[in-house]
Order: sequence, then structure tokens, then C-alpha cells
Amino acid sequence: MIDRRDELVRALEEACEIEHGLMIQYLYAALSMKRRLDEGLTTAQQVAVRQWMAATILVAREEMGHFATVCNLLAAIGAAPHFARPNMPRKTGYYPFPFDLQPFGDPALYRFMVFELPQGMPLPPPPEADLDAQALAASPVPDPLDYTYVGELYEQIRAGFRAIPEQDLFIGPPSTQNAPSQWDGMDMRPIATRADAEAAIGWIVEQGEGTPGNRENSHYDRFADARDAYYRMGRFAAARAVPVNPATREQRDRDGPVVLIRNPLSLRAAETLNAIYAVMLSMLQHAFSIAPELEANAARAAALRQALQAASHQIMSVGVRPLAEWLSEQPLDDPQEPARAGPTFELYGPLNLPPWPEARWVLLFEALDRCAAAATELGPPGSRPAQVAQSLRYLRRNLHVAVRGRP
Amino acid sequence: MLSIDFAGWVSCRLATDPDPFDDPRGTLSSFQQLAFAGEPDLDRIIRFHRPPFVRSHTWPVGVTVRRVRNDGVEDTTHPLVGAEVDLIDDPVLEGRNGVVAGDVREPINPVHLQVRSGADGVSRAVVPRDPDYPFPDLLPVPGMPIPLPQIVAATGISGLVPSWQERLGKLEADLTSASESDRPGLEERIALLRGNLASPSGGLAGMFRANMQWRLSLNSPIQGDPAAMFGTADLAALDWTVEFWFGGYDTDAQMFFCEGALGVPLHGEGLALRTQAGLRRAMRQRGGA
Repeated sequence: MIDRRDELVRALEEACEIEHGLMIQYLYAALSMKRRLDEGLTTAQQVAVRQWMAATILVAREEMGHFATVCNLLAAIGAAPHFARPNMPRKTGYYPFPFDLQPFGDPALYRFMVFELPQGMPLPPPPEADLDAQALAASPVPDPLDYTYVGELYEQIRAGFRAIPEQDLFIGPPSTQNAPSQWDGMDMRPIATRADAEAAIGWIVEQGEGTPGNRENSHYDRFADARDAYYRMGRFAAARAVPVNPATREQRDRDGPVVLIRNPLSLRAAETLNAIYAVMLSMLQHAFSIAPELEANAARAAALRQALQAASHQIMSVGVRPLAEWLSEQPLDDPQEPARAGPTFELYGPLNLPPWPEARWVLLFEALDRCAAAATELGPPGSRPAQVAQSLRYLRRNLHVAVRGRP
Repeated sequence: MLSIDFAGWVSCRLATDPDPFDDPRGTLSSFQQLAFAGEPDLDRIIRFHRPPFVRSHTWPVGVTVRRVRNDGVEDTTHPLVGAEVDLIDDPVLEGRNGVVAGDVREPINPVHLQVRSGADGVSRAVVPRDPDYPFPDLLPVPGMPIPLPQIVAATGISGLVPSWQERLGKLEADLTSASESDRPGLEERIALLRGNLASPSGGLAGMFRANMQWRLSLNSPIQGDPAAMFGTADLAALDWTVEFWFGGYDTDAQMFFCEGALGVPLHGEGLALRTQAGLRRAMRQRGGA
């Protein structure tokens, strides 16, 4: 039961990790899909693959909106945004369902439907292979938070918002929160009152599960439609030959096997992508927690937040997505073998921002320089990695102008 | 001033937000800019002539000289009339998902304008002040300065809805005899047109009125023999000016219309053109001629 602020904070942090983790899993499936006829697709399959890819990326974007809204909920009650998450795989004992990076296919679609399963609805038929269905159906609960599906966690969070007196709860400055107008129209909800919080939670759950009488266009419904179509089309190989749970190295916070990327260029590309991803998270974290600077100069702080928000969604389009997709065509090990690599979305350490405003910018510029230099080495001029490198330089320039007033 | 007016349809197959700017096939494009099944990858390149791929039942791509004026006097027999005008060196609209510029504010990079007649050609480019960040010198004029009636007059089309309705009928007819492999791509296009035409406003057909305009100074060394090409030896050693707009955006055709004028200074008008104010004045005069 959640009836204290600290319990509500912990539950919201877990919700952040889940939304973040879902987003990454959806992106992995979407960005490792085949796209061209020379990859063995027929034109009919090409249409279907793009529809599934679009549906999955759209859900991932909506998870980003949920993630941002949960950060707003945290900010509203005076807590920090939460961007940390364990590396994948997480099989048991952490969340009540395993988190894996799975290429698009029936096991992935089944898993996505389970993630978004409406309360009271039976599990969908399991795939024929490659999934530990028992681990999904059972719900080990090592944590005081007792839930089986995402919607249940949110119901407990909603109960927590109801249990704590409203006048005591909302102590965070509203200026720390983020609104759709600041995020290129991405749907997210600012929170000022208990009613706002309950409405936002209801929106997140409804977008994931649908309502009891209407699941149309819910995440569950979209994955169910994709799975139906996938079966109708004969369950062809829609994904590139990427592994389940690729990784650049062994990491202590995993609890399952990984497939290490051994091709040197692919390894460097995956590491570069992870560094760009970490920069994106640090910019988001910075944008959400820029509040201390507001006291000194509100207009400047607002301009800096806007620059960070713009850069953090732009880097997704010009850095993370293109490099992830490119990586899914690079060799896992021997280039002559069919196995391909893929994005690993690993975090190599905690995501801590220094409390000194100036140091944050120095660290950010250094990280962007490292990412651009590394991406430059991945491919010749004109290649997608080279375009990523160029875009990162331009993005750094924009931030530098915002912060220093000059390129 | 030798003023060379040009116009014609341009091909540009580019991904748009929220897809990565270099997405080869498009996924969630706000303007439904996708490579449909069986179509080649998107490549962002602005092509004034001979694109390697065009969708069926669309516009004839080709930007040509429509009129030549010498100090405001039209020369209807000038040999350049009908010559090809081209942007060469694979130019792109360089927005990069807002990193460089937002929608309808993108610079063209590079700008290297060529006038070509048969095997002969003459060209000149914008040389940006900062080659590492050339975009400030390649940006369009802010806003959408071209009024709809001008786009209608230039294209000869009152709007895209009737064209799309006619095109939809042709595509539906094509579908009846399409091969198994051609059907999915055709069906995607038909769905795009049907979906937009079902909207009371015509959906993306409304992009016809969107436009961008550039006013640029071509300041690179000249390639080719301009005196021979332009038919006069009276050329001043000054920058050339080019003013053009892209509009009439047909998102199904993946084309837009281009209309503009190249200004080549002749002797005797150099001093006025050496300043930006002089350049703008000269452009206004040409626009009103």
C-alpha cells in the first residue's frame, strides 16, 4: 500500500524504469527490422514490415511521453526525475516480468502484448518457441511493490496520490515540469493537482491497455493487430539476423546471458550509440532538473531548458535512431557470417549530474565531442555514421550558442 | 542586367519528421513521405532534371529557361530560351530534424546553379563564409512570401485536389492489371490519395500552398564560358544573383514547382550591385519587370 511520499516516489521511480525499459525494447524490435527488397522481403512484406515498424515506433514515442509524464509526477511532489535503469536482460526478481532486447517476431510481439495486457484479460496464446512463458505468467514479488502488469502498478500509484493529503503532496516547483509545447508536440501531461495526477495516470493506463469497453488503438490493441497480421502473413523473417540481448561487454547488473558483439567496427559502433544514448538521457535529466538556475536568471534558465529539450529529442532522430538501424546491418562477428549486431542500449554507469551548472555543460560538450569523433571513424563521408557525426557537431554548436552565446 | 527566368517541376524524395532526415524509406513521416513498396530508397536530393525514379501519373520534371531579358527588354529569340537550369552537386534541403533548421526553413546545401544548353554549360555557386557551417548563407527568406495566386499561375493548377482525384482514378485503373509485386506499392499510393481526399480540406493536398523562397548571391569562380553561353561579352565581374521559390508541393508526386530568375550583371551597373542594398533593389526591379 502506498500512503507516504517516499513510497509514492519509489513507485514512480519504478514506473520510470518500466516506461524507459519498454521504450528501449520496442525500439530494438522496430529498428532491427528488414526494410529493403534485397533483404529478402516481397513487396507485400515490405508494406507489412513498415506498418509494424511504424506501429512499434509510435508506441515507443508514446512511452516516451509516459516517461516524461511520470517525471512530471515526480517533480510535482518534490522528487528528482529518474533516468537510471538496469541493463538488459533482467529475467527475474526485479520487475514482475523479464526485460530483454528481442528482435521483431512472435516472441517479441507476445511479450509486448503481455507488457500492455489489460487487467482481467487472459494472457494471449504463447509463441511456439523461444520464450519462457512460465516466467511471464508467474509473478515473483521480491519488492514491496506487488503488481503483475504495468496497469496494476499505476493503480497503486493512483491510490497513493489519493491517500496522501493534497496540500502536503505538491511541493515541487511547476517550472521544473515539461509540457508538450516544449517537446515538439509530444503528448505529455504537466501536474499541479491531485486531479491532474489522477488524470495523467488514467491517460497512461488507457493508452497502454485501452478502457474496459474499448481497447481500440491502445498499445495492446496495436500489438495484437500486428501479431494477427504477422500470423496471416506466415510469420516470415521480418527482422534482420540480430541476436536476443546483444551487448558490448559483461555488466554486473544483468542477470541473464548476453551475446557479445565481437566484430571490432560493430563493437565500436554499439559503444558510440550507447554514448549518444547516455548523452540524450543526461540532456533530459538536465532539462528536468535545471531548477536551481532559475533563481539566478529565470529567462536564461528557460532558454537553456528549451535548448536542452530541443537537443534531446533531435538527438533521437539524428543520432540514436539512424545509428541503431545502421548497426542492425553490421556483422556481429565475422562479416561473412549472417549474424548481425544491433543496438545494445547499455548504460555503463550511473547517470549523475553534477550540482554545479557550469560543470554540467563542460561534461556535455566533452561527451558530444567524443561521440562525434567516434561516429566519424565508423564510416566514410556520406555514410549514415558520418551523417550522425556531422549532426552531432551541429547539435553541439546549437547548444554552445545557447549557453555561451557564440558557436 | 541579363535576367534569365526559369521554371519547372522538381523532384525531391526526402524523409520528414519525426523520421530521421536520412531515413532511407520513411516510417512515420508527418507528410507521408515514404518509399512505398518496390520504390527505391529516399535520398533527399533536389533534382531539376532526370530523376532516377518518378511516381506514375505525376508532373514532368524539368526546369528550363522561360524568358530572357536584357536590361528589362525581353529577347524572345535568345538562344537560352528552353535551356536547362539545374542545381548540381546533389543539393539537399538540410534541416536535419530541426538541428539545422525547422520545416519550411531549411537551407539548400550546396547551391551551385548551372545553365545548360546541349553540351555547353555555365555555372556558379554560393561560397559560404564558413565552409564548416555553411547554412546561414543558404537559408530561405523567412516566412512564406509567395502568394497562392502566383503558385497557381506558375503551375497552371488551381489546387491539387482535382489533380489527385484524376490521378487516383488512373492508379485504380492501373491496379486492375498490376503484377503481384507492383500491387502493394500501388495500393499504398491509392490509400494515401484516398485518405487525404477524404479529408474535407484535402489533407496533404493543402501543402500545395506551402513555399520557400531564396535570394542568393552566386560568388564562386565561373565555370564554363558565360560570354558564349549568354550571347554577350558585356558581363561585369560581379556576383550573380539568383532568386527562386519552391512551392506547389505535391506530396504524392514527391515534387514541387520551382520558379526563379538568374541575374547576370552587365557592365555599367556594377557599383549599384556592390552593396546588399543594391542587390535587393536590383532583385525588386527584376521581380516587378
